[in-house]
Amino acid sequence: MSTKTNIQKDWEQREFIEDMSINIQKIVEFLNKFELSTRNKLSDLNEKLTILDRQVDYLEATFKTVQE
Amino acid sequence: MSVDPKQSKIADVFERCDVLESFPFHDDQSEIEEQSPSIGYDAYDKSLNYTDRGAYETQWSEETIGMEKMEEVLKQGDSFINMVYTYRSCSKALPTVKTAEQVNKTQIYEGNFEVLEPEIKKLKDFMYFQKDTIKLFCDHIKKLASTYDKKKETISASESFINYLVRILDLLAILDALKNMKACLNNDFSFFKRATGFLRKQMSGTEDQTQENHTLYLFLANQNSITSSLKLELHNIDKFDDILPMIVNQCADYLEQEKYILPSEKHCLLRVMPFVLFLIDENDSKHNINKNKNLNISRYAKIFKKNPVVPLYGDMQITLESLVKRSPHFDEKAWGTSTLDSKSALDYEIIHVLDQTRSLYNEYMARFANMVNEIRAAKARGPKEPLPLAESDIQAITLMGLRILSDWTSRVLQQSAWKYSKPNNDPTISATFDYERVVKFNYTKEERTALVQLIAMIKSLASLMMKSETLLQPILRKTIHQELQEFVQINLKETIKSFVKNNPKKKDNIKLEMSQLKNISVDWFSGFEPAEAVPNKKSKEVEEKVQIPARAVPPSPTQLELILTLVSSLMDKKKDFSSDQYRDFEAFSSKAFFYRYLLSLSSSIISITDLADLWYREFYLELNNRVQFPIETSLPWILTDHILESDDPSLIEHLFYPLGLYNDTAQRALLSLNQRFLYDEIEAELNLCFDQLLYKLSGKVYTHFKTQASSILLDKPYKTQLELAHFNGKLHTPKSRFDVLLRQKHITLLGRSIDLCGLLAQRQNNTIRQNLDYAISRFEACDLTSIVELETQIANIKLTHKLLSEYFDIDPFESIFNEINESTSLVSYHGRIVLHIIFELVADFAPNYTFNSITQRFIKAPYTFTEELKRDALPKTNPVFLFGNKYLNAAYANSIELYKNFIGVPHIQSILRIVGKKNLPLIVAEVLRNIEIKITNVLSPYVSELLQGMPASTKLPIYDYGTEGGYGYFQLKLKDIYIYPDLRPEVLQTFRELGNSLVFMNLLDQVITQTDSYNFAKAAPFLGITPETWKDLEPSTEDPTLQSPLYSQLQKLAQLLESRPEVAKSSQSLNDMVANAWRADKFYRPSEQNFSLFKSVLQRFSSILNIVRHDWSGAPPDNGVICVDSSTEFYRLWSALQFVICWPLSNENDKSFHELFGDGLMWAGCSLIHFLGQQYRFELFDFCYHILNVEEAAAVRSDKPALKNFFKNAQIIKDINNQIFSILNTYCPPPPPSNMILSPPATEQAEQFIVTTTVEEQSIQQQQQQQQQQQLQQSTSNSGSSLSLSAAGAPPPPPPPSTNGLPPPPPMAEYEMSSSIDDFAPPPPPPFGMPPPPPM
Repeated sequence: MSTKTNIQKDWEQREFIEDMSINIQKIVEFLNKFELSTRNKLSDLNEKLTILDRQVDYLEATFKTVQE
Repeated sequence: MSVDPKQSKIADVFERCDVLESFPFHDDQSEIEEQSPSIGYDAYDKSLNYTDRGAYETQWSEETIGMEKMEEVLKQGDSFINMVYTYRSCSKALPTVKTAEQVNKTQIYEGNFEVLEPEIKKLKDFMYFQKDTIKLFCDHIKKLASTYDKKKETISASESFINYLVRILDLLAILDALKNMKACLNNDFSFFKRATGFLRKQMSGTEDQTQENHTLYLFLANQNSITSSLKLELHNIDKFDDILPMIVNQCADYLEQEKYILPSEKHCLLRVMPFVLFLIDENDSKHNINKNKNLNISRYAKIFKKNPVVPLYGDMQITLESLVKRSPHFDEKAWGTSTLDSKSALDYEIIHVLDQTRSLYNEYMARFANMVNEIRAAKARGPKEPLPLAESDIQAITLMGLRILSDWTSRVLQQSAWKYSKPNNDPTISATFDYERVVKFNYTKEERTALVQLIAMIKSLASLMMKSETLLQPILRKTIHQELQEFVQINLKETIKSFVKNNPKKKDNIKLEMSQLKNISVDWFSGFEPAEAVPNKKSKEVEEKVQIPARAVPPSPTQLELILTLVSSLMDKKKDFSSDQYRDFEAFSSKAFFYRYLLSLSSSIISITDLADLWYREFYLELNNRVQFPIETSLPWILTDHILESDDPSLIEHLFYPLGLYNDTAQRALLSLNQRFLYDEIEAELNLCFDQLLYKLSGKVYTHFKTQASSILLDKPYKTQLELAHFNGKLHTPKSRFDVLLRQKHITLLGRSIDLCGLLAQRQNNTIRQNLDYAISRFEACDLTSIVELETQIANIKLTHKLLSEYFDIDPFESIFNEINESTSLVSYHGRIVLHIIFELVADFAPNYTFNSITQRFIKAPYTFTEELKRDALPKTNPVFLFGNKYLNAAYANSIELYKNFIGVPHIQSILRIVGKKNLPLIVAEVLRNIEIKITNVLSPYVSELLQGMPASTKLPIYDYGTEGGYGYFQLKLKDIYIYPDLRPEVLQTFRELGNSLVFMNLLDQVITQTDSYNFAKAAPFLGITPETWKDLEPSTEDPTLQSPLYSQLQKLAQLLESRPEVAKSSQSLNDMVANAWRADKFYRPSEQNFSLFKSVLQRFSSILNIVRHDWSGAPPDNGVICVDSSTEFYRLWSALQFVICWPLSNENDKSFHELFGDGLMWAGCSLIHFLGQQYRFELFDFCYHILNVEEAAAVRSDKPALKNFFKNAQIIKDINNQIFSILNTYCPPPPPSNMILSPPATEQAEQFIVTTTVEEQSIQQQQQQQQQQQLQQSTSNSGSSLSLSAAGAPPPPPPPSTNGLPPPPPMAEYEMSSSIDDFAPPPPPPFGMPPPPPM
């Protein structure tokens, strides 16, 4: 045979598609992990902000008695 | 060779993607929930639906057209299944026409019509769909029948095609069962028909609609109408009884060979088998299932016996035996007897197989994780590094994981079906609706635990496999490609060669099929089929090695389907192949069947582990005619609540696996059932469940740490004894595994991220506040004896707070305490605790307690003269807020009970520790203010009145009267005071209050001294004070702080670092440290002046007495020196009161004064006398002392009981008074006495004094003569008369001026101050000597 069959061409072309697909999947996996990690850090930050907010409330209530 | 720029860029992109895998992530949370990725990606697209079949030339390509249509029918059928299953009745919410004459009935009917018409249209579409589906199915059966080969008695049908027929049959079976279940369909249709019937009179051209409605009515009203229609149509087809057995047999083959992965696939096969048998059987001898040669009843019976109950859809299940029994020719002998429940339960109930399941879980987890680690290690070594495992092993391990997950999920769903089929009908259980009997009361505690653990295993294994998908996918695809090409290019090629050689002119159909199989799947190395060398007779044939290109490219879905079909078709012609060839086909076929699941690993895992059926309950909602059930009957919440209420600490880490079921449920509601209202219901229920979870979990966490703190703080030997005696192991810290759970910060529920740690921290903050408020409220509702309990509780809460702080970021304890104690103010020192202490000291302690000098304790007086004290109500008992649990509460209650019946040093120590020195001035000031108020407002008027009521003369009687005479003398004189009505409730009561307050201050001072000494001992090394250097300390001008080790060492360090700036980077901090060290030394260094709180209090008390000093010091003495006969000074009144106190009781049942008022009375009286400067006069002229002296001097002691009691009381009080005076003199010397001449007067005043003294001397002489006269009268009357006459006749001459003035009394000696009461050595009491009588 002097020419490739369509099936043969299809195998070769799909290899490229599969490589792209695998790498897209890696990106997706990275993004999912990044999301979890970021949520963890945001929770820590939110916790610190909450603590500071409560301290400010406490100090504000304390100083209010001085003015009264 | 030039580099292609495009390829270079692609390679660069791929390289960057690889770098992403090594990106470091910091997430310190363990995974305790199923994985819910935010972004999903499915690389293997199955939705093409065979559109690329034109590229593959096979004889089965046309069959794919039918499969495509059936695929569309199946999708449409799924939507109808969902519609019928989730159908909720509309007619309940619609108004009804109650009377024919109702005015607005036209409007009601029109409104009902508008509402119901869309719903009825759905039902009509449903009816037409099932009709069309039955026709389609029968058409396919006819086509298959037309392929019947009479000679070979075979029918040509591919395995995949029959699979589609199986699915169509399952669809029809489910639709029929759902329609039977939904009674509301008929109800809504009746409503609709009534409305249209009324409106038909006003419309025209509705005949067709009427006919359609009638058809729909028959369709909905008749049970099993779909099955009946299908059966009727099938029996019109010739040879259908040869085709349907193929379906049953293929189902049996699949079940026996376990050719399924999804649980739904397994259950589909089980449902279709009895359905098809029912379709075949008919009431004539021609269609008897027992006589059909293609059917093997015993084989089917074995399968049914193993799986008697099968999930149908949602919360519906079917019993296979009941289906088969509907067949007309059902023969019990062939099918066997009914399966015993106990035997089936062993297979269906998870609890019986949990142990082996856990072993398999542990084994497979280790195996899978090891495989993943090895692959990662090999990949890290190099991209082209060979894998340590064979790639086929990787595929086998992964497939095994899928099978394990499938088996476990099937077990969960089958147990659910089993429970649905066997409700708990125990009459003792009061269930509101049937759903409670199949869910809430149908799972024992052990079964719930087993179910939770199995769900956790399923979800955790699924998470692990899904996380590894990116790593495994290239390997799996490469392996699949390799296996496929090996089969085609090696095995199949050899088989083709063999056939061509052996059968050159025969079996062309087989050769054609094999050629087609090769053509549609082969992937030649370098793109072309290698030229086959023509065998030469002379030359030796050289065997060529087959080369296969290494690609990670799987076959397309259509390609794979056709390959499987062709292989299956070839395998049907088993006799035409050799055993080796057939074995190759069989091996490849069994492997290739599972390729579709491995190629889309994520979606396969998600489908396998879908447990949403555990929540859906539309069948029971319909059965019980309810909109929704409460969360107490929802299985996910039942399991979650079981975890929270369980004592098994290992379950707590599985807390979010049952809640993860809501994720599955919501996913199905949105993507599969397409019902928004269901999602809203799920969301609402999950919100409720999560609130309950937070409430219970935070309570559980707090209880745990509270119990731990109580256990730590409990006295160790005491705890040991208690555990030996009563509480065996109950007082230890309970086991728990909160570490993993309390670190979770991004739990995913319904796509939302929840910071569990933050939410729990909020609740812990509130709980600590509530606990502190509870403790303080209890203290506010009790008397001062509960101060010890309060201190114990606060220490407990403080330790609980410390333990919780290791897991949560909660407010500082000081902030919480100040907030609850209402002591956050900067300008005032208040607080609930200190205010209550002051309240109790002033309102209850001082008035109602009696002090005992020997025991140094105050106890409640047996009788109180004050009104009942009104306190806050005791808060409701909360065992957790006390000390964690009832056992620890009992232990602590016993310990605290020791301090309940008295107030003493331990209580004052508690006050000092709780209040601290910060609020002490407030307490002291308030108590002193109370003293001042009592003296000025109560005592001053009463003392004035009593002084006025005193007898005119209180001169001490002479010894000659004897004890009895003297006692009677004072009794007669003081009787009016004794019967004074306000004496006890007001006068003595107030004196007692003063005394108790002063004693309290004394004890407080002692406790403060102890605390200061303790702190000093701890701080001494830092201050540079040691036993060797303490004595050598001399007052010097140099500041001792500069020599202290703390300050000097830090200063040296600071100086050293200042000289080397390259080392020190924060010199300012060092300076701050030095300054703070200086301040600390100043703070902790003891003052040179020994501070005493009691001394200050006494000085303050003395200044308070200045208000009444003038009045209570009495009038100036008439003789210019001292009042002897009558006195208006306070000490004389106190002598009278003291005599009354010692007065014997007339009634034995009465309480004595001492019992009623305690030693506080003496403290009050002695303090007042002391600070008025009247101590010595009091001791000289006291009535009781006089009686004691007379008794001591008497020749014969009195033997009367009343006098003896008096003597005892008087002696006790005298001892107490001496002790009190000693203490008072030690702390604070009295002020200079008034009404006394301290120095010789001047000359002019001396002459005036001489005149006064002369008058006084005459008076004294007269008194002496009178005494002598009385004595003589007692002996002889004649002598007395003679002496009297002699004295009156000759007055004495005046004394010379130089000896007339009395010498001034010696100055009061300065008492040495002592630093502590412990160093005090009281002087010996004066001897009870009798003053000598004046000379005769």
